[in-house]
Amino acid sequence: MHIPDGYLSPQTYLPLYGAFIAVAAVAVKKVKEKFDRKMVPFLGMAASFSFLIMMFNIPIPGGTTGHAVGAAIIALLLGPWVAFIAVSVALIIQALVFGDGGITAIGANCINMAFVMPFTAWYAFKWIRGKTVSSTRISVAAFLSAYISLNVAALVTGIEFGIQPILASGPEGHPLYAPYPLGIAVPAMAIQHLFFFGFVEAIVTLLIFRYFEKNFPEMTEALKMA
Amino acid sequence: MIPSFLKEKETVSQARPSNRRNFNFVDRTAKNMAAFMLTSMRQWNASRRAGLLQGLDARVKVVFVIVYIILVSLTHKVEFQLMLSGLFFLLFLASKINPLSVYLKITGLAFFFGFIVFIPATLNLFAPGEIIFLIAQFEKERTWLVYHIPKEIGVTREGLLLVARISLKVFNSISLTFLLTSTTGFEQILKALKMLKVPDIFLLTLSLSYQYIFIFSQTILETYQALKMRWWERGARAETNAILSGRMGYLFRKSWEKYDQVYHSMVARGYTGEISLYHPGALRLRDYLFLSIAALLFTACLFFFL
Repeated sequence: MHIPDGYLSPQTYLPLYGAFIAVAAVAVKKVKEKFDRKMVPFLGMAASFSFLIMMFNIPIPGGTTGHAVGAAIIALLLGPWVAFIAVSVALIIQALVFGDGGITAIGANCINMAFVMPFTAWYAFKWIRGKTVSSTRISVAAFLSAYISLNVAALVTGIEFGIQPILASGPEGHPLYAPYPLGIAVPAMAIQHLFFFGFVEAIVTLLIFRYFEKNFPEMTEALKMA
Repeated sequence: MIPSFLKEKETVSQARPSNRRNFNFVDRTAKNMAAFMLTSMRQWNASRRAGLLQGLDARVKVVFVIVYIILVSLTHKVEFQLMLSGLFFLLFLASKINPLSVYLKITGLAFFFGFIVFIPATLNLFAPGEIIFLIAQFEKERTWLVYHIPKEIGVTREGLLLVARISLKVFNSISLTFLLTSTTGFEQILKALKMLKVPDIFLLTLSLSYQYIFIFSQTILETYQALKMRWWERGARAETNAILSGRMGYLFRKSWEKYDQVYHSMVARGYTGEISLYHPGALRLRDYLFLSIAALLFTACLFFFL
């Protein structure tokens, strides 16, 4: 899901940088209201946790392993605004240290994985859970919220790829950036996430969420919402 | 006297797994953690060599990389992208970075993200063009929803050019990122970002989390090495899951403790909630010289190739 440099046209990455800066300003304000002086060390902790969660591999039936984006579980544990900053910082470190995700695409990657995903997970969890205290339903809500959020983020990424031939084409109609139209880019992103990566994200989220529900319910933001 | 925990019955089975694949996730997680530390250390070492880019101010390098990544993104001529590849290769050499190891990584990333992903775009399914290699021929062309299948499917000249262009763009962009990270410490990059008006609060968070990641990577690596010493049986998925979630929970608890300790140490050193990073010093003559040459080249490229 990390978009590299060269895929997106300036018509896409510049507005997404703008959107990222605007959301970051709101997120900093929201988090500061809650944590005040403790904000910086807290965000540092949340970002490093978010980064490391992405590195944990889990065994997947069939003999392979996979890792999660982690944005859904971070949103459920720490709330969506903290998740936005934490996952953004993790993505920036990945881009600057590993070259994982492009520099021009930092805005797009942060909007997709640090904004769309945590907020979708948060509201999906809220909606599926309702007002129940049933542990089974809460677990189902955690699983589905992660699954849905990753797929929504993949859909947004697919749309960003798919609009490139419309936004930037050469004089003979040849695409200058990501060449696949919406009809190819969206299904390509959707299918792999609907049938594989979505389940990996959901399983990782469920595993961690259940651990926290059992051991640290007071530290889990999603459990405080009802 | 024997402590009580030593008398407890072992809950994790110690049988060797009959299926090695069951254990892959431990190896891979440990490998990820080790890779992070190793990459950071290599970059730290490389950024201290006496090379061309290492001798420049981090702000100059950040501006150079950002401006040239935009240039790579804006220009669409293959010959121009090849020229830039040559320029970046010379910069790696002048900065005394081992080209073999760095280009293995760059080529690997560019091959996957820039080439493999876009191979289907060489076909005339996505954009019309002159077919130079026919793959399939049908009686008539077909249209289904938004999909159009032409009478003849094949690799086009224009398609090959398109994939070469995108692959080179990805290759050059990754090269630029590696040029920056191989010659500049992470902390220096953060200080340079201050010039781009990135808020101090964001920079400090980045800096703190980078340091936390180091500490916790070490912790996780040690934990996973210990886990590897104690094999567990194939098929004990519930047990594996409990161990995994326990590790992640442990990590969260440790992170939380560390955050609390860091906050109290910050307060003890006079932290009041106001953050202001130190302003970096003035640029030197060689910084201005490098910037001037880069700006001249940039203008020439825009003039001739855009």
